[in-house]
Amino acid sequence: MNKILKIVNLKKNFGAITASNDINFCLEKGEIHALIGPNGAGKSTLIKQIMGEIKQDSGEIILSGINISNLKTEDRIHLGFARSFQITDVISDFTIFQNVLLAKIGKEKTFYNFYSSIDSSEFALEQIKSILLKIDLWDKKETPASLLSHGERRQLEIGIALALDPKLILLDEPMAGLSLDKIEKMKVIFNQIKNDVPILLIEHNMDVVFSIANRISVLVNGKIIASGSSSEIKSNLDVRKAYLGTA
Amino acid sequence: MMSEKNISYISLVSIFLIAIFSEYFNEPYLITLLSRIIIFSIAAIGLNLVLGFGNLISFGHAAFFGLGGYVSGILAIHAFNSELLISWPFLFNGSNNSIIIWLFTILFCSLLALLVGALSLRTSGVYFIMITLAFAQMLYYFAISWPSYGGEDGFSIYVRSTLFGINTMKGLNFFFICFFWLLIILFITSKVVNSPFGLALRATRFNLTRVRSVGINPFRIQLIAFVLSGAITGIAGSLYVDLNRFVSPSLLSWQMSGEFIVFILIGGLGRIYGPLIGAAFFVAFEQFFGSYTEHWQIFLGIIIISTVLFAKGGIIGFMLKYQKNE
Repeated sequence: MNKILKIVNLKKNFGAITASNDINFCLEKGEIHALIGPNGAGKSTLIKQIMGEIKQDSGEIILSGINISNLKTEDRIHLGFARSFQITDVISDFTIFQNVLLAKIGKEKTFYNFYSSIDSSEFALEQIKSILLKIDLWDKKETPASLLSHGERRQLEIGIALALDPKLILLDEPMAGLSLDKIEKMKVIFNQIKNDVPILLIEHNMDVVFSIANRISVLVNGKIIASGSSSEIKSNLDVRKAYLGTA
Repeated sequence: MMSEKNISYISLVSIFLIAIFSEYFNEPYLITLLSRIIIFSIAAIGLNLVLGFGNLISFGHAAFFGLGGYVSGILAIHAFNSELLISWPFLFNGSNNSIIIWLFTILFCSLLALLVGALSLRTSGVYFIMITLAFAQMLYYFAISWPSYGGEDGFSIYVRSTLFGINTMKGLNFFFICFFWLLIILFITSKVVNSPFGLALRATRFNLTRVRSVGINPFRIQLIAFVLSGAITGIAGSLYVDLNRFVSPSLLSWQMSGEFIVFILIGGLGRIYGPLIGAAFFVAFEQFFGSYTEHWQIFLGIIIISTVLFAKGGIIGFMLKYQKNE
């Protein structure tokens, strides 16, 4: 089973506006699949449907063979969704360690544990250490998230996503506002992670998309007009016309 | 080095020692005062669990304090008068056994907290404050208009409940019981706050979306905390009634809810021992200034305003900050 996520004939209208028009695509094991499209193309609406924050009008969302179209967001997360937010969203009063630990607690459903001490670093320490090493923040584990730089917050976001031990990760503009060297660092992290967990990437930075995505799907006016490798997308005429602006 | 831990232990030990000395110098009034401090702090520790750690501003915790008091008082008075309390499904005359009274208190207050929490946690902010207040006021007016148990005047219970043959009428013995409860409650709350559950609860205070996104249902976390909180405050109510041997609707009044919040703010919001320090300060303040003028609350007002403006961490926060600057 290589198809981790499969979207079948997904449709969503808001009144007369068609936000998702018969969308089909899939995310496979070991890949970074980028979803691109101009503003208002319906990317956010699509992501919200995938996460279960809004309900599709028709069509199916299938995660590893399980139809999750009618599940609530929390249930989808338990089945293996992880998402990092468009607006970087960590708990700034918590340390890096606590932020990742919170995710771990959510994943392992240990939030009804009233007696284990989270101070005695025994609790889930090894797992969290390996995650923090992956995202290169182990040295700063006791730093409150409020003191982190923009890029470090992004790294932490990825760490939180990884703590959920997901089947796939949705990354919503992870490179927005990052400096060039930070972007290079993130690319390395993503390329490492994708072997464990496939990534669905929403990103405006075309250089990033073309350099790390294994496949790219282009969404315009709620419809996927093309899907393929970087070179296929670059040379696709429809895409150039509708999106890149050069025919 | 004065850490938060040291401040906490020092305050516990001092209260204990003052009680022993008061007994030695034959000052029973002081012992009663100390018991009151402890009981108030237990009530506020319960509230602090949701207010300080979950940022749920309950303005109706007097409901649990009062319910705990009424449950205890009613059980005790029926036992004292050998008067039937319920006749179905079995005959029950109430009880003057503390263990039984406490179990009933915990049961009833948890159920009330479950009901109040399940409804009010669907709101937030000002609405949450108002709905918790409304529940407490409902109980308050119910107690006033319930003639069987004294209505507005309340009723007296003549002896304290019994516990393992200890003479509970002796002030110092009753103080020990309260002190023991305080230790238990402090142990439970510090354990809970530092557990995975506690981390989830503290997270709900900052960011509900984030909590949901890692697969935790914040409503359930808050509801469990609310029930625990209500039960703890209920125990305080039970002890308070036993201390005064008197039950009245004022236990349920909104002023009582307000005082609990004041204890927390003065002592230090979201600190395990904050309510203890706050309640001790409040009662001592009341005694000291109350002996000069009946308008002592004017001075309290000044203290509260300065705490909120200049010492947001309350007394504990202020002490920690002061020594850092030194």
